[in-house]
Amino acid sequence: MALMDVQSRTRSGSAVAVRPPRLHVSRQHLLTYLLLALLVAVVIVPFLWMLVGSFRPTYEHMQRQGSSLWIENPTTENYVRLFAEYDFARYFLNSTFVALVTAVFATSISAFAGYSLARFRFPGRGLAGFLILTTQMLPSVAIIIPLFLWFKQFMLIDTYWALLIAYNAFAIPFCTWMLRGFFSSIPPELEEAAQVDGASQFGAFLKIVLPLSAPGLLATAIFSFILAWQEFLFAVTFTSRADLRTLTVGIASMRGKDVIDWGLLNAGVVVTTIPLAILFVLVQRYLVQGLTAGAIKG
Amino acid sequence: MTAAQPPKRQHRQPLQSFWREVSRNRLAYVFLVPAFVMLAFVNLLPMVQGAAMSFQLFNLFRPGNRPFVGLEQYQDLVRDPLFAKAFVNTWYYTLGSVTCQFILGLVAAVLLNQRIRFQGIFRGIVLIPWVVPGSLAAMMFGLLFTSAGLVNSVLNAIGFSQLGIVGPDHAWLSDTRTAMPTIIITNMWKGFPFFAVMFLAAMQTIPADLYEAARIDGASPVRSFFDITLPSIRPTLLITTLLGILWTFNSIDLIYILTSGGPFYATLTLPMWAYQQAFGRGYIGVASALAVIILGLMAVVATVYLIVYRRTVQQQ
Repeated sequence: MALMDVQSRTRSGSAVAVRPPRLHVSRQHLLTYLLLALLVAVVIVPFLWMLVGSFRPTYEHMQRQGSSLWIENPTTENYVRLFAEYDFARYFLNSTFVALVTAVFATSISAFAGYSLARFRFPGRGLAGFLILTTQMLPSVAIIIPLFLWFKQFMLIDTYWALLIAYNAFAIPFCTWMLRGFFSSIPPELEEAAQVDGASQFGAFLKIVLPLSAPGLLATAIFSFILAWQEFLFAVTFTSRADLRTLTVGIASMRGKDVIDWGLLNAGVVVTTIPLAILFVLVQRYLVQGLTAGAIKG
Repeated sequence: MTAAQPPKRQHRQPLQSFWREVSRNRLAYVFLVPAFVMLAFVNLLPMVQGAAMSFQLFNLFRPGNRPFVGLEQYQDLVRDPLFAKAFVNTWYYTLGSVTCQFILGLVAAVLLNQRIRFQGIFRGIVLIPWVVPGSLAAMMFGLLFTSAGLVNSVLNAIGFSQLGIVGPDHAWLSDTRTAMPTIIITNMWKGFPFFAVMFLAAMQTIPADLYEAARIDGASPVRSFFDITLPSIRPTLLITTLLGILWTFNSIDLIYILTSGGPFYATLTLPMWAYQQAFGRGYIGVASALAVIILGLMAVVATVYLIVYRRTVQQQ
């Protein structure tokens, strides 16, 4: 399948690749590993520092020991406080709910749109694809102001609806491009055969194309889940009630005006990021496909 | 490509054949309806309404009274000295971030494209910042760069503070000189994996025999990077940079969390300013005018860029 090209090439490439002989490490290799180590350090140290800080007791933070990567008395008190002093479970639930609904809904709508762009050569196809791509690039400030006024008028401020509507609209363009790529990689002969056997075009889509692209649909759903989970600006603008806070807004609200509760913030970041990291590992290669397909073939 | 396409016929009447095409592809339009309804109501209509509001004197806290004032708000904006400052800041932020992301992304892609052990693990690690939500990355770096943060302790340990550029307890985000660079560094960390992924994917489509031939001809790795790799992935370099510019220009998250435009407007960008005007002070009309200006700037950037892109692709 064309879709898996990059991935499979890499895989076979590294499988076939002759491993460098052990005792003969060339200068070029040494340099590569050195630079890689540096790169990994740049990426991982901020995160590691956060992880360490989340297990550091408050008094150690107060003694300015936040400026090191060492803990004298590791503790889980920050995680306990996260759930005891703040409604963190609620934030977690809110984020999960909003992200799940976005994942299901945006993927369904995008599946139809993506299939349409992938299979049909209809008048206006180019324009439709162009419009979907450009909406992805509209400045969010230009949309958030009128949208806020509309939501206010329809009493949707401080409801889940405001977030769900906004997130879906923002996930759909990208998901459509991602799914378009998946559907294009399925040979049309399968649907043609089904149609010869008497299925309608819609029936062929439901019974043949959708099951065959299950991995693609799942990847797209997870992508929109991540997108909704990460969002901050819309959430902070459209909600003011504490019980509607998502994780990103909830953690931002933990920042005191004068005192920084380091341990708490660190723990919050860790709890929010880890589910994303797990999901991400699952879909990484599909995500790369979608990104490159959507951006380059457009 | 199309399922069950009939053999091509002579088109006797163009209009008639157009409608035949439309009706033959009915399902294609039906399938697009839900997506376009969403996009129309949540993206396009608000955009149009925003443009309309930019001509009205409209205060969020007095919504009933909104007189038409024409271009007045645009004129006031352009005359405001803060506009020039925010304009410069926006480009400082955008080009600074995208340049850093581009360079680090390219270096990462080249390294990850080598035959190395644990390739998959290295690729996974480099992508970590991508999953960290932008607002949380901002909070993380906000802590890293406080006076008691890790950055200062590292700089002090290597003796950087003795150079006298910044003090040993420097609060990076409270100084007008260092606030924007700190935001750019944060953005680099958060955004470079996207560049790396795009570049890496493009590099993997370059046929290996090209490199083999160059090696046999005695070209050094550096030489083949500049003569083979860079020219081959030029379209990707261009399009990724365009996307990066558009996203960065419009993004508010990092600035909102780290400085909210301060200190003394040193990190105020146009989108951040528009957001503050609308939701901080309730000046919907002024904010909408700013949003229209931002949209115009984006359209210019995208158009110029796509022309360059088309030319590059045609040359190949």
